[in-house]
Amino acid sequence: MPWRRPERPKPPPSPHAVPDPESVRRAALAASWQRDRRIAQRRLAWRWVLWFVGRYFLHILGLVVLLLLAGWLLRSQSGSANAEHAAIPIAMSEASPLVPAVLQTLQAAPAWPTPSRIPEPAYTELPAQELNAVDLRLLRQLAEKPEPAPLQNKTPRSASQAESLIPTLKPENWLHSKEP
Amino acid sequence: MSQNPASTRLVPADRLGAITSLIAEGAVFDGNFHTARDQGIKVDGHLKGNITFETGGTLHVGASGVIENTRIEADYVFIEGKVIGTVIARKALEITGSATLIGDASYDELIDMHPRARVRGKIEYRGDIDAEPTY
Repeated sequence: MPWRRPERPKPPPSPHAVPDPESVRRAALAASWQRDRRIAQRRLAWRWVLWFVGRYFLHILGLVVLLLLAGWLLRSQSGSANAEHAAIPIAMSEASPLVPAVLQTLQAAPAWPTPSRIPEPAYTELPAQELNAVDLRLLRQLAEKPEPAPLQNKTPRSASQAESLIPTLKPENWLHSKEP
Repeated sequence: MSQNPASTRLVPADRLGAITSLIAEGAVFDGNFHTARDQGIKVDGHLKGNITFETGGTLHVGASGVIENTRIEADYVFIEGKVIGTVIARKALEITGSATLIGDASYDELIDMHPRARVRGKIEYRGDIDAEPTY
């Protein structure tokens, strides 16, 4: 008939077009359990934390205060180490009972001898004849002393030259000498 | 994906696995749920109304589920979320550490309550209080 529309072709039935209700139910439950576990663990952990903080709040606060105080003391000690080192002797002289005793001992000890108190060395003046004999003996020993090994660049000296270089003390020189 | 239900102490896992109705997270159901068959329902969304299983029945309130203005009656009641109302568990009542129960709860056989569970109400044993335990 002309008023009838032609029927549309039906799609072939597919077994996988509609998922199995049982598998859908299981998948939905599994996803729900997984989500539940995550949320429940987080909530329970948060409840434990709140309980712990509420129960041990004073302990935690005291511990934090102690730690802060210790840190502040350590920092202040390390920062003012130089100032404290400078202040230690002053404080010890005022506070320590040992310091006055040490000072008294030092004051009671004899002072170092001043140059005016140094005793003059004692000596006896020899007669002029004996001095001349000693000088002559010394000069003779020096003249008889063997010369050291000659150097290559220098010419060897003779005994007479060496004797001429040694100043001889004459009695008049001895008298004008500044030796005591 | 997890194929095991939440770890329970009293409610059998097969009872949780046999749940047939689910109010999903974010959904709001306003009304009463009633059945005469031994079925189960899991609430992850928001439900306002009563839930009654005449025989048998398992109710699982998920961690994100909230039930208020309610009277719940089932054999097994497993609460991980928040319930405001009266709960009657004919066999076992289990309240986990993430649960909040505001209202009275009564049970006939077994009860398990986590130390961190939040309960504000009366817990009542409906059985014979002087009966000798049967092992």
